[in-house]
Amino acid sequence: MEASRTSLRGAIIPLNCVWLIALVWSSGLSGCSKSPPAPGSVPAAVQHSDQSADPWFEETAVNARLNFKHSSGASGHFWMPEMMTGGVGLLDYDGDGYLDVFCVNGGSLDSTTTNRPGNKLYRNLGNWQFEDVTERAGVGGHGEYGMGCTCADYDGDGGTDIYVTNVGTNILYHNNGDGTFTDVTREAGVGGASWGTSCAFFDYDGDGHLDLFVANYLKWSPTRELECFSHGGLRDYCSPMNYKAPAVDSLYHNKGDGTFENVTVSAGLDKAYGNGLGVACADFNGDGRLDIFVANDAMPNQLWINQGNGKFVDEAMIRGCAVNTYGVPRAGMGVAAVDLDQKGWLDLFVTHLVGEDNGLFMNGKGYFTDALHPKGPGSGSLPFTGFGVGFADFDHDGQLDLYVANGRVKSGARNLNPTDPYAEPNSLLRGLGGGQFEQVSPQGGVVESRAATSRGAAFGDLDNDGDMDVVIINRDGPVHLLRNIARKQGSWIIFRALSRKHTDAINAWVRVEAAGKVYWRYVQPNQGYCSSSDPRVHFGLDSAQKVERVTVRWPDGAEEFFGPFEVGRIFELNEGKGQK
Amino acid sequence: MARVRASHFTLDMALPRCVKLKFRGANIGRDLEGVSPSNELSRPRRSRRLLLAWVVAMALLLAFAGLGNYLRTRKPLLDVPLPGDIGNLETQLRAYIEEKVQRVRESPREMQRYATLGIVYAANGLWNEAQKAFKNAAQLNPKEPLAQMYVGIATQESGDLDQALQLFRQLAVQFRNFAPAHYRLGHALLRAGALDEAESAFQRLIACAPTEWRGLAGLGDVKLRRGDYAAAVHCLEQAVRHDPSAKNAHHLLGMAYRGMGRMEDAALELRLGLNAVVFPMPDAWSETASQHMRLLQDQIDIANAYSQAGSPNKAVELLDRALSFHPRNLALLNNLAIAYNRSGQPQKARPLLQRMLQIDERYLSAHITLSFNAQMLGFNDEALAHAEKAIALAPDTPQGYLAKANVLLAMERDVEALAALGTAFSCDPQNAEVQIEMGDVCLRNLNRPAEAMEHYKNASKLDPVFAPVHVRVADLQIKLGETNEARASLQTLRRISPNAPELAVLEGRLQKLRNR
Repeated sequence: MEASRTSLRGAIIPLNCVWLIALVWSSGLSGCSKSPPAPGSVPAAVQHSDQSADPWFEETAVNARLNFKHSSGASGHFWMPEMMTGGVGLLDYDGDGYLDVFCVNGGSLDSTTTNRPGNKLYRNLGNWQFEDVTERAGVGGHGEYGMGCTCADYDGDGGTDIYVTNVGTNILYHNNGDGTFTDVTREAGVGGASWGTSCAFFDYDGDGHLDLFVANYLKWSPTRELECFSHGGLRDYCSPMNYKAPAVDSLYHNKGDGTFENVTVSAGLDKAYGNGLGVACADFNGDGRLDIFVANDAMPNQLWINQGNGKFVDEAMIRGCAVNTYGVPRAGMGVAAVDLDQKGWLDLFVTHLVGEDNGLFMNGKGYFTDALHPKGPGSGSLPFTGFGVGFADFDHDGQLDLYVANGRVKSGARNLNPTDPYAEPNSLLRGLGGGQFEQVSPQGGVVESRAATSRGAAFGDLDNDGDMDVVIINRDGPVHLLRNIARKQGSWIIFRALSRKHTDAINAWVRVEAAGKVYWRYVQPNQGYCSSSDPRVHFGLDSAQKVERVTVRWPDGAEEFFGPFEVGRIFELNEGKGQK
Repeated sequence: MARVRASHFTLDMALPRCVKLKFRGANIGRDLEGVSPSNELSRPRRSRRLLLAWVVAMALLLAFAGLGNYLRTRKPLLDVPLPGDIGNLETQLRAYIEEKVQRVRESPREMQRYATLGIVYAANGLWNEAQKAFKNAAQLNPKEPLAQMYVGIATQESGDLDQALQLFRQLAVQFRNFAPAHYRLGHALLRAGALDEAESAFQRLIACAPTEWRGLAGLGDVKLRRGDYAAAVHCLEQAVRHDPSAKNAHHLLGMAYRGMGRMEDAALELRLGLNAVVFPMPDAWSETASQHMRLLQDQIDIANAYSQAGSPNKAVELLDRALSFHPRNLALLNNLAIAYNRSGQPQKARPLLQRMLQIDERYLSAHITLSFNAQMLGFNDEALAHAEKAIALAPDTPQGYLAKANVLLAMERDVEALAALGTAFSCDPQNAEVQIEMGDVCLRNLNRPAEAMEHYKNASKLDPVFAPVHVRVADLQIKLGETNEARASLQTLRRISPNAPELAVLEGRLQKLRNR
């Protein structure tokens, strides 16, 4: 055997050497172009907004006494989590029928800081008034550095619980049913020790208990920080790729007794990993089993296809949702699983970095295509960095509209907000049907365009008036509470799909037939970026005055029919009480 | 370009000539003023004066005509675009921009200087300023297609895609044989969803540049979007034959195979296309761009690319120049130290690394690079200490363990080195390169070929299209006399990397083995 001694060569991977050098000049082609479009310039969408047009939303946070102010704890260290923090959850924790608001705060990563701002829970008193009940509820945290949350009744006791992701140990708050919560993280075994971001409750093995998936971002600690710079030449936050430390995501199996088992490795989820930020859990290939899509930042996405035996296999590449149409990984932030063409297959819409379009992966029977359409939902997104995202029919014209919460991750040479170099206006696009969208004027649907560093956004009908409102967490800024005041083009109906245990039937399909049209919605509140939305499904119905028939495909695949229903009301759909 | 300079020179010469004429005319006038008009002037004298007046008039006429022509045809004096907030730019970039702006001001009607300034801005992400500079260049020489094309590119990068598309359309009509115009137009049209027009643009690109894979890939992309998978495969297979390293084309080919239901082929091609970066069709201007990049992170990236391409001295040169602007930047110091290590000058890296530790004693990268550095200088104990320190600082990352393995190998503590590599792999279980290193240690240092093969096969599973894995597998199979297996490995290698330099050697060795 002829062999000479070896010493390390290929495996010598210096930190910091990340980007391939390519002068990447062509918008939309450049998945990891380092040169954003005119950094800091005022985007065209902002310049051309028609301020005379009717607003769709009214900012009501101050009047509603929703006075949460996010704190990233940024103190000049440029620690990466400071740039990514901020999620929000909508949940009816006290069962009064109104959605309450849980805001996740960053806090401080500096171990010497003693007075750390925590998370906040605001009780919805109705009539657009909120009350800070954090202390009474016991959900402020213990000084963790918060990222996001998801809300669901994991133990089926009728109370919506809250799971909070952090840099470090996450927290599971069990709803005691009396307006208070208990931190059951240790007993439940779902703490983890990574940097959790978006997360979702879903029943992947069909045993009737909600399991938990947590996307993890980076293996990070202050000692691993690096020095990076913005285009303006100032010290700034790094790209996740600078760290070369993507983290494995976590899957916890709900054992049904209030405890969970970490099944990440046995489920095969350690076989592929990236810088995970966005999560959507749904049946993407129509086999009746729930899969997991993870939007990774600057790395290929994962689509974990459920094999039905407790194992998952990443098929994102062959199924066409790992990278863009040219094979380029993009900076995935938030994700929405939405049936855009209303055919019963969930498409994936992922928000991205400035210089990359927000991307739509259209689902064709389990196989996706990176849909490039000049008037698609990604249009106009090139100048912005998108995070929170949600589709809803805000004006009831029967077409899904799109809201994207934007905010930079690197400062630009020119600022849109004199006090916040990362601020950008948010985007609102009106759905025109046929997969086409157009920018709404005024920008973001509000009279006064509020440039902020937006992160998580949650969508729901906060006043039960039949239209969808929005709550947005802004890094180092006050929360935005956007009350829907859009001029309505038609009627509406809202359904709450409830399982036999009287918990929200997460991952059920609701199909509505009204006035000759068919509308599909999917029950999955855990979408977007680090946020959890209204678990009910909302339909704008255009000119329909009646819903003839509703079909629910429950998570176990069984179908039931309900109806007819009057429009303009909120109904419950109870499993087992419909027609088979 | 030469013609522009010549014209410019002529116009410059015209100005003094006019001035001279003017002064001469004045002198003549004064001459005339010195003599009173008189009827007593003799006829010959009078006719001389008339002749003189006529000459002067003609001269003035000519002068005015020349001046008019000059004013009509001379190149305009254009505003030099400058970032409004230049004071906020990175020091090195600011200094470089100021230098280039000064060069434009020295010769403000020279197209090439505006072009260079535009490229400087573009290379550093300042697209608004780049757009203005390219517009000036195009105005100064409307016959230069690159100038007009770059106006389109800058317009596109500034977010105005519709306007950019119009500019590319005009460019493609005006310069029908200018291949990059058709490339840019084709892609802008694809983005706009105009498939028929995009198809024509890519066909024109293929006609203008038959060896350019991007034309075929573009055409394949059009067919793919139409759902004509067989036609797409036809184009894209040609594209990857033109350039087997064209990842974008591999990805598109994978999607086309998928459309045809050829899932195995699709998986392989998608893997070959993974982590693609879009490199637009190169042109004379884009090829100069990297030399104008002055943002620190870009320079670090370029330096790393140089190092990985076997030119660490170029990396040293580049980073050393940047160091004068950023003397305390830890990332720069670290990368310069790495470049010194790689260029065989570890002694020069040492003071930089020590400076890093003075700035931040817990800086992880410093300990890792110092470990490699100390090992290169023969200070193995020190190298091991820094590796251990790195592991203590970040126990869940592979770099510290790799550094430790490196020094243990140098100390010929191979079994421990293998264990360190194993820990590194457990921190980064997707890293095929670590498995290759483990295989190499097993094979070359520990003489454990079976174990080596296992590591190589693990690497192959992790990254089935990583050519070095298949080279090693085939090499080992030939050594072990496994001819059939070796032939299969070489077939795989040929498919994924037809230009691999080891291919011919290994095939020759296999042939010899089979002939025995």
